[in-house]
Amino acid sequence: MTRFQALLKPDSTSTPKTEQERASRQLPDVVKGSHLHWWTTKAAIPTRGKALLLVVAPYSQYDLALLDVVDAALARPRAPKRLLSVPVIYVANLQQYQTVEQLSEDIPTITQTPPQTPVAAVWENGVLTKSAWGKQARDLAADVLGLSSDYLNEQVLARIPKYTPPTRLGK
Amino acid sequence: MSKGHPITKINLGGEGEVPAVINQQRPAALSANWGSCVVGLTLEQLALLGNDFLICPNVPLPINDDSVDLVITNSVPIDIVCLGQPGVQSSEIRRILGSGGEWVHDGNIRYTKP
Repeated sequence: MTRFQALLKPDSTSTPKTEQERASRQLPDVVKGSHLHWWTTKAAIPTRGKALLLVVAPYSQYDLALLDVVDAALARPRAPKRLLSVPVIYVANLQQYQTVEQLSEDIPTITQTPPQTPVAAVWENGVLTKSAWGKQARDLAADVLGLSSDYLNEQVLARIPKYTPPTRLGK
Repeated sequence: MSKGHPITKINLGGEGEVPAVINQQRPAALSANWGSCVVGLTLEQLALLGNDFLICPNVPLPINDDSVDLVITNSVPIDIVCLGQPGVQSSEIRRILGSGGEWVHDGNIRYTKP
């Protein structure tokens, strides 16, 4: 399942810039067609149970691969008694925040520009309990989903396009 | 952190994920709370593992015109501003590439300089 990474797929006429613009524009619709929820406002956070917000960069293969892995994890059948513990996963687009202050309005513990993406925040029973960015954010997502962080990171990294410089360019 | 040899292959926004290239990072990478996206290592840890870094803003790159054989960009914003920070500029990539040089974005060759 690569519905999120497909947002960045090149075509015959696209450039990296136009692919990234397309990914940003189409991200909400792809989220709505997945097991994830599009972030609108903090007011939507449930007052019972866990909620995870993933603020992703649509230009990042790592972030989109993470969404694919999380979506696949949520799609797996669960025993009925475990259904109540399934966290609500929200997704927001980092590019919709013009300033770090706007991001802080949604995640008050993020007070400086995050050097890496994604940014993740966890609410438990409506209370913000954890936040992180970069790899630690992926680890946080793994924890919320009940996955091992090594497993989730391996799944994400396995999906990242690889390139090895040809030796003819060596100097 | 560069060892002083000419830059012929550079990964703009790189974190050591591509072997034997210079990894360019913005000055924010020098902050104590920076960690690589791939494995969460600090810049110092990545350097100790043998990775070379060039710390500079994305605009303009302190690299001569027509001097680079290979530019790599992975999962970085191209020609857009994100949280007030300019991303990698394709005009800068085209400027620093030498004739026949290639730009590889997310694993695919996207531009070869005439």
